[in-house]
Amino acid sequence: MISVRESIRDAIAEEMRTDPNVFLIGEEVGEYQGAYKVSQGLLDEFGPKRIIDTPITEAGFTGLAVGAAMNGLKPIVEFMTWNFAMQAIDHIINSAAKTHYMSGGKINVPIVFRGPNGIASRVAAQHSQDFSSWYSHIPGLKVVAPYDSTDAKLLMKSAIQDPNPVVFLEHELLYNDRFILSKDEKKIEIGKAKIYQEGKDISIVSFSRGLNLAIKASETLKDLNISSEIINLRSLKPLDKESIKNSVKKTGRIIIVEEGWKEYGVGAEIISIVTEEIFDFLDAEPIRISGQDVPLPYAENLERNAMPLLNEVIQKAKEICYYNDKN
Amino acid sequence: MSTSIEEHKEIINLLGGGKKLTARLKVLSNENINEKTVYSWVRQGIPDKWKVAVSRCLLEDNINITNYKNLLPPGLHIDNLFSANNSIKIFSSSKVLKTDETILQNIMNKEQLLKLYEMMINIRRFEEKVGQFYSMGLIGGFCHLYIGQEGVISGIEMLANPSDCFITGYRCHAHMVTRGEPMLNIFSELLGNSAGCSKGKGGSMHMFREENNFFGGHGIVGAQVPIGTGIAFANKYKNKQSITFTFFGDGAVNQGQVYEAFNMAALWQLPIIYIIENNQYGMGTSVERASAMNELFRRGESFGIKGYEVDGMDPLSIYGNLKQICEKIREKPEPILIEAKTYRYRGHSMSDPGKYRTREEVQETRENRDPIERVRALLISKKYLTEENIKDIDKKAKENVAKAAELAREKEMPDNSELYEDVYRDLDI
Ligand SMILES: Cc1ncc(C[n+]2csc(CCOP(=O)(O)OP(=O)(O)O)c2C)c(N)n1
Ligand SMILES: [Mg+2]
Repeated sequence: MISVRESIRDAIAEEMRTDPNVFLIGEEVGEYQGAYKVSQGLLDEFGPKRIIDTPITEAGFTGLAVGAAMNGLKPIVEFMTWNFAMQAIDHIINSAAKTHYMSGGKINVPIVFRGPNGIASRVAAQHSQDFSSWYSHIPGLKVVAPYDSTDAKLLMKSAIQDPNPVVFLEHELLYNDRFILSKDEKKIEIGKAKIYQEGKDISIVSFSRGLNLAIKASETLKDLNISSEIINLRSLKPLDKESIKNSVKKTGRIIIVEEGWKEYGVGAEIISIVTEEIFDFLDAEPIRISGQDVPLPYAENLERNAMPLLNEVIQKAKEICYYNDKN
Repeated sequence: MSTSIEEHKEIINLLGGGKKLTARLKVLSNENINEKTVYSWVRQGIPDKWKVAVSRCLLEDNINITNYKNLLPPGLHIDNLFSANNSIKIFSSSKVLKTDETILQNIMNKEQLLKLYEMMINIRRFEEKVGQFYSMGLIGGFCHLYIGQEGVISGIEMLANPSDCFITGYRCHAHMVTRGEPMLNIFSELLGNSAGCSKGKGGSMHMFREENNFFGGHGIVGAQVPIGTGIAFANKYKNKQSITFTFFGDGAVNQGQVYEAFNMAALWQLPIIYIIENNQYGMGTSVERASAMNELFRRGESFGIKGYEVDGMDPLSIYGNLKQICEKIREKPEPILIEAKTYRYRGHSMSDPGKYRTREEVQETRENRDPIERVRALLISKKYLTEENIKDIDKKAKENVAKAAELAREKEMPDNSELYEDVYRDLDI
């Protein structure tokens, strides 16, 4: 068993050992060992030339890293959290994502932007937000969101090896979770989802920490004789449409669980694809379970209610499976 | 009174003679200087352009520069309370302000000193209680304490007008206390209950008190700087006399938006005082490791913003120096940059392992530079208060804090329906 946190670190270390052009840059990544300790030990192994502490200057070091990527290096940019990447979003979108296209393919930007994304615990609206749909909206970016340690390790390796800008969305509340590393999977291709669990009655699609809700819901549903197929998206862009469609063709029902706001969100995109492309296979209305349409509040009860809730997933699943409680 | 030439001769001797002084000036200045020139000053006097650097040498040797009426940096008068000097760059508009101790000791009357003391002790007791609540698991998320830095906000509060405006980052509890928010509401916010000043929706980093022009606690490092500049813009626009005090950290000074704001503030001569609370660390990174040029008070020079370094552990120095500066700004608006050299005793937030500094460093600052101790000692030495009186004040502060804290614990959680309130303001119909 290994934690998600260590898995990300190990992937970075392995890639740094094989490719001398890979380096890590960000606030407190070196001497402090990372604000969330993801880079623990890396300064010791690779030294300050490749594990670079920056001032608090996100727009500056992101732009700098993009320039370094254009000129042959492979930066991994750590945002202390993705909330602070908003200071630098111009470089992620206008400089990193679009340059390959604008240069007619002459210049590429091999770079990984990474850090914790999504809802953290009790830190209020400016520090707690899911950016999945923001970046997935942008052509030229690849966006991945690991759930377990295997995802984290292998997706990080693929992200670093990728010749394009990759947005790597970690989750603070998953860092400590420990999983067995898969022995079968040696590589995860960006753009491919994983069927986390096979089932026949309903497809539950999620990513990152949303998977926890999907898994728990499926256990309850199992007791009610409802068999759930769980899809771990792994990549949000490109999105593995085929895996989603194949699953829905089988089950006829779909629920998407996401932490972010559902308005213009990941779930909205998936439901559009399903209804546009395989409408006839649907046996019930598609469902989104998401965070509430409010900035994330601090108070414990309000925060809990602002997040997607397990009960909602179970309740909605029962409804669209026409499960009758009186049975 | 001695003539200027005699005085200058004396100064050169005091500073170890021409040869030694030349060497020191070489270190201080970018400009070339040779011994022959310095020797010539014994006969001709020290030229204006070198006076600032020479004063700096005097200050370094702890010689009271106000004794030398003919060695004033250009543009400064002896009857200015404050001696000024310049670090490194001759004729720079930025200065380190060091104030004569006797002046400082008499800068406030008894009532003022007492008020200042109470303000600081209130902040400290409040923050200690917050720390306690945090370790009891009653407060969630991030929580940044102001302990050690009390002198900065308190010195400024002592000179602020009621219409002045304030804004800061996430280290904002003290500002709420001094801006007059009842402690009950602040504790309640920290506990996330319905009586909180943001109804439990903002927490430790997001507190506001609009009736006293406190525009909040902001979580994004540096973001409060352009916002503060906009508040000053609005004041000027509406012909208000108010000054906007905009606080940010030594880490925040490296955000690009700070300089975008400086430029506009200077371009449009906005009535704003930027206060860098230099507590020497941004999280675990020392100023030296974050800033290529770490005389932070000079960071506005390229925009023509005058900068001053002030001892932020001394509320009297903050008060005295800023009072003068504010008076000028009220007459003729302009942005000013203050670097308050201060220190935080606690971790950056509650989960700080603190490996980036030594215990001794913290201990030494606590023992030798504590702002509360500084004022306490003065109150006693001036016989304004006895040890007994002080104990009573401390006890009262402690009791008030404890009372508010306990009351806050009795308040209820916000109603679940609050989740959807306040996203938008309703249209006035
Ligand atoms: C844009 C942004 N980047 C990073 C952070 C995380 N962070 C919070 S406080 C802090 C250190 C700031 O130090 P400083 O400006 O010196 O203020 P101090 O905490 O010492 O008062 C950092 C990096 C943030 N809140 N916002
Ligand atoms: Mg600091």
